Amino acid sequence: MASLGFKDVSKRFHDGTLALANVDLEVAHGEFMVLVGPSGCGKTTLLRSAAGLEEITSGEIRLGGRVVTDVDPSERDVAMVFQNYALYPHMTVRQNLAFGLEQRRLPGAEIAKRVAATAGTLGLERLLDRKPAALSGGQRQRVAMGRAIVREPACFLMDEPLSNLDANLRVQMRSELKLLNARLGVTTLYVTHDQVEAMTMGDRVAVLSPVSRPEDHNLQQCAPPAELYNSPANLFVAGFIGSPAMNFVRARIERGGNGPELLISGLPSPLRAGGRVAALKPRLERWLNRPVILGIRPEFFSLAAPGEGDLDVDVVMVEMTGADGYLHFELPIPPGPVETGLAEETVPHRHKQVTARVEPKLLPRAGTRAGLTIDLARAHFFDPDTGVAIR
Amino acid sequence: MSNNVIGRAPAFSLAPSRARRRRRLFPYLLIAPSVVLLVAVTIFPLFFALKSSFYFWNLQMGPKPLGFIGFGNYRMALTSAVFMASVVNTLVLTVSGTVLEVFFGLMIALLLCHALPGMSVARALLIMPTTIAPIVVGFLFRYMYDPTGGLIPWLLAKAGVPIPRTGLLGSGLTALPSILFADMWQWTPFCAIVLYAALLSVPPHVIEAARLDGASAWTILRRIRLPLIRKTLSFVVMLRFMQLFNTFDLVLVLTRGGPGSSTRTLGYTLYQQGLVDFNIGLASAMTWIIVIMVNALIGLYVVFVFRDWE
Amino acid sequence: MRRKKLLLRTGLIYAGLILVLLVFIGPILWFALLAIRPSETVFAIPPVIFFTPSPAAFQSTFVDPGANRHQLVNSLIVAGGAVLLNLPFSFPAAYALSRFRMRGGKNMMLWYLGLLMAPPVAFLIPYFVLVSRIGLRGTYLAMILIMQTITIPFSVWLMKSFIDEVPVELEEAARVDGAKWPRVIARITLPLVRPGMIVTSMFAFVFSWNNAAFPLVLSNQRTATLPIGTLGYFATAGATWTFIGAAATAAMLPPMIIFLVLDRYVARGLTFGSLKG
Repeated sequence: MASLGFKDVSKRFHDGTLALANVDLEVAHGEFMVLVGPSGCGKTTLLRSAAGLEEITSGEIRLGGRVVTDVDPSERDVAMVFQNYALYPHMTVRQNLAFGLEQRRLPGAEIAKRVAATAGTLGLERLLDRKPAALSGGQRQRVAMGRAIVREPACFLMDEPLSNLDANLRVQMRSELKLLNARLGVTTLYVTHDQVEAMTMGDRVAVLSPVSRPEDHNLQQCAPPAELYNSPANLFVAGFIGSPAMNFVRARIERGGNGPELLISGLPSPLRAGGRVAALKPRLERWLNRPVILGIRPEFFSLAAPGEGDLDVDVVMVEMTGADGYLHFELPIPPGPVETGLAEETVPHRHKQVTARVEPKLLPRAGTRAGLTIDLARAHFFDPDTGVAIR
Repeated sequence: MSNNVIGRAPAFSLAPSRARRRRRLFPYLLIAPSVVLLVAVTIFPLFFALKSSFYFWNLQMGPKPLGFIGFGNYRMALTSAVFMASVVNTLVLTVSGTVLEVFFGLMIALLLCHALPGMSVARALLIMPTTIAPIVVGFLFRYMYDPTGGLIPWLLAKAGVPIPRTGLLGSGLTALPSILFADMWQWTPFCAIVLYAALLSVPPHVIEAARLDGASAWTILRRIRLPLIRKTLSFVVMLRFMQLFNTFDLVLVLTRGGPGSSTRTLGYTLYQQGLVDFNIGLASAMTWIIVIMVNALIGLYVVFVFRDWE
Repeated sequence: MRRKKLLLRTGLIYAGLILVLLVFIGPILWFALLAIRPSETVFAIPPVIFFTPSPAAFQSTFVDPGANRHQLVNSLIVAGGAVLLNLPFSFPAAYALSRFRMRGGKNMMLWYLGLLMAPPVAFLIPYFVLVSRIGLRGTYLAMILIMQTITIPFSVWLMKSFIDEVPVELEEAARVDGAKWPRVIARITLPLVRPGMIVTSMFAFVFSWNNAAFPLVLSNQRTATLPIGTLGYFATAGATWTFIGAAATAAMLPPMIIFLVLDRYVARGLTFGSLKG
C-alpha cells in the first residue's frame, strides 16, 4: 500500500493535442480518490500515465515515495481494472486471476491460495474454470476486479469499471466496491464521468476539465464530496457537480436605500430582500457596482405566494420525479457584452432557463404565475472574468 | 485540502531517459529484419542492375561486362521498335484490362448482392479461376484457343463469328485481345468478390432511406453505393493495373510475344533480352526504364486517390 | 402482379448466375477433363463430352515414369519454405505497424505495396546473375529467398489487419500484470492471432505455389516446380495435352482447396487485409 503523487504532470499527444497540463495531485495512503470530469478532460490519460501505459511529456509521478515516471508498467506494482475488463479471452477465470502472480514468479501453492481467497471474496468459486465468453457482464466485471485484487498491489487504478453495467447492477456494484475498499484499504484512483458515482464513492473527488493551453490546469478542485458540493471553487466545479445543475445568472450588487441590493440581470428591480444581502456584505464588499455571477442550486428556491417572495415568475414547465418536483422558468437577458474566460459556457442566452426545486405536492401548473424566495445565505457568487468563487 | 484554480508557472521538462529512448526504438527494431531482407533481395539487385545498365554486357560473349557505354543501352532500348511496341502493348493491355475487369466485376458483384439461396456456393465457386496459377491459365487457354480443335474457335464458328485462318493466337489482330480475354477470365471474379464484399459494407439503412426518398436502383448505385465503396474501388483498380502491367506468364505460354511483336509486353521483352538472349546490359537498362515508369504511374495514382487514406 | 414481377426478377438473377458460373467454371472443368481423356478425343470436332475416362495420363506423369512427381514435391518445398521463412520476418513487422505509431509507418506500408509493383522479371535478371555468381543457381534457397519479395509485403499487410483485431487493452492488462514485451506477445497476442496467422500463411503458400516466373529462371532440372515441368510438354512437334492436363490439374488443386477452406477470408486475403468480410 502506498501513496500516489502527480507533480506538474503534462502530456501532449503526437498529434499535438494537449491532454494534461500542470497536474498536481496527491492521493494519500489507502485513500479512494475519484477523477471526474467531462469527455476530454484528461482523467483517463492521467490514470493511464499512473499505470505507465502513457508516457508523460513533463512532470513526475511517484508511487509510495519512489519516482516511477519512466518505469515500465510491468514493474510499477499497480493493478488496473479496464472499462471493457480486458479479460484474457483464451484463458479460464482461474488462469486470468493467476496470470499476474505467475509473472511475479510466486510459488504455485501461494498462487493457488490467493486465487482461491479472491474467488471466495468475490463469489467466483464456481466460475473458475469458465472462459470469459461464458460469463455475464456482471461476472466479467468481478473477474476484472479479482485480477486486480489477487495481486495485492500498491495501488488500484480503475477506468470506469462500472459504466458497462446496467443501471441496477451499477448501483449495487458501487456499494460493493466501497465496502471492498474499506476492507482492503488499498490506495485507489478511480475514473468516472458520472458525477453521482464520484460523489457517492470518493473519499476525495478531483474535478478535471479539458485544457487547451500549456498554462491551463486540468485540476479544478480536489476535495471531499461535501466540500465540492457546498463550496465549489469555481464555475466549472459548481456547474458540474449536482444534478439538476446549479443555475447561473448574471447580477450586480448595487447601493440601494437600505444598503447593498442585489439586482439580477433581466429582472426589473433588485431583490426585495435587501436585508439578507447586507448580511452577505463582508464578502461582497469589493464587488459593489460590479457584475458578478450568481449560482443558485435548485433547492435554494422555495415557493412563496405571488407578490410575497423575492421574485415572481411565469412557470414555463414543471417536472416530477416522484420524490422531487422541478419548476422551470425563464429570465430575459438584456443584450450586453459577452464575458470571456472560464465563464463562457455559462453565459446566458436570450432567455435563461432556471430550475427550482419544489415539493411535489406544491408544484404549480405550467403557465401560471408563482412566487419564489432565494436562500441567499447558501447562494454562491463567482467572479465573471475568472470564474473563481467569491468567498 | 482543496486547490484553487489560479495558475502556476509550468515546471521543468523531462529529458528523454534511456529507458524511454529504448522503448521508442523498439518498433523500428521489429521492422528491421523484414526490411533488411527485402532490401537485400530487391534493392541490392536493382542497384546492381543500375550499374550493369551502363555497360555492354552479354553473357553469350563472356561472363564479364565488356565496356562502359554510358547511356548507350538506354538509347538502344528507347529507339528499339520492339521495346516501344512492348510499351504500347503493355499500356493497351493494362488500361483496357483494368477497365473491363473492374466493370464486369462490378456487374457480377451487383448480381451477387441479392441474398438468394445458393449464393454463397456460387461465390465460393466463382473465385476458382483466380486461384489458378497464371501460367496454368495460359495452358488452359492454349488448349481452348487451339485452331485445330479448341473449344473457343469451335464455339465462335458455330456462332458465325469469323476467325483468322492462322488461329486466334496467330493473327496480329486477335492475339492481344485473346490474351486480354484470358486475363479477364482469370481476374474478373477477383474484382467481383472484392467489390461484392465492399458493397456489403454499405449500411442497409442508407439504401432504405434512399429508396423511401424515391431513388431508382440506378440512382442508388450511382450516387450512394459507388461513392461509399470508393476506397475499395480505387484499391482494386490499382491492384489490377499493377498486375496487368506485369503480364508475363500468359505471353510466355500463349504467344511468346508473336505474331511479330503484337503481344510483346514489357515483362516478356525484359525476359527475352535478359534471360534468353542474355543481353544483361540492355536488359538492365530496360529494367530501370520500366521501374521508373511504373513508379511514376502508381505514384501519381496514389497521390491523387489515396490522399485521405489511413 | 407484384409477385409475378418478383418471380421474374428472381428467375433472371438465377439465369445470370448460371451464365456467369458457366463462363468461369466451365473452362476449368473442360481443361481438367483433359487429364482423363483418351488422346484421340482431345481435339475432336465436334467436341466430345462423353467418353470412357483413361488413367493413362495420370499414370505417366505421376507414377511411371512419373516425371512430374518430383516436381510436385519441389513445388511443395519451394512454397512451404517460402512461407516458413516469411513468418519470422513478417510477424514482427506487422506487429510493429499495428501497435506503434511510427514516423513513416504509412510510407512503410506503401513501400511494401510498391514492391509488388515492379515486374518480378525486373529483379529477376540481376538476381539471376548474382545468384549464378555465388553458385546458388538452381537451388531451393535461391527461389525461396526471392519469393519473399511477394510473401513478405503481402503477409505484413494481411497480418497487420488480424493483429489490429486483438484489442490493445489485453496487452496493456498483461503489461500492468507484470509481463514484459516478449511474454506479452507470446502469451497474449500470438494465441489470439493464431487463426489469422494460419490464414495469412495459407494465402502466402498459394501465391508462392502459383508463381512461375521465379522458378522458370532459377530452377534446374532437379528443382523445377510443377508448372515449369509442365512447360516441357510443349514440344515443337505438338503437345502431349493429356499429360499437360494431368500435371496442370495437380497444380490447380491445392490452391483451389485452400480457397474453399478459407472462403470466409477470401475478400480480406485478396485485398491484403484492407477489406473485411
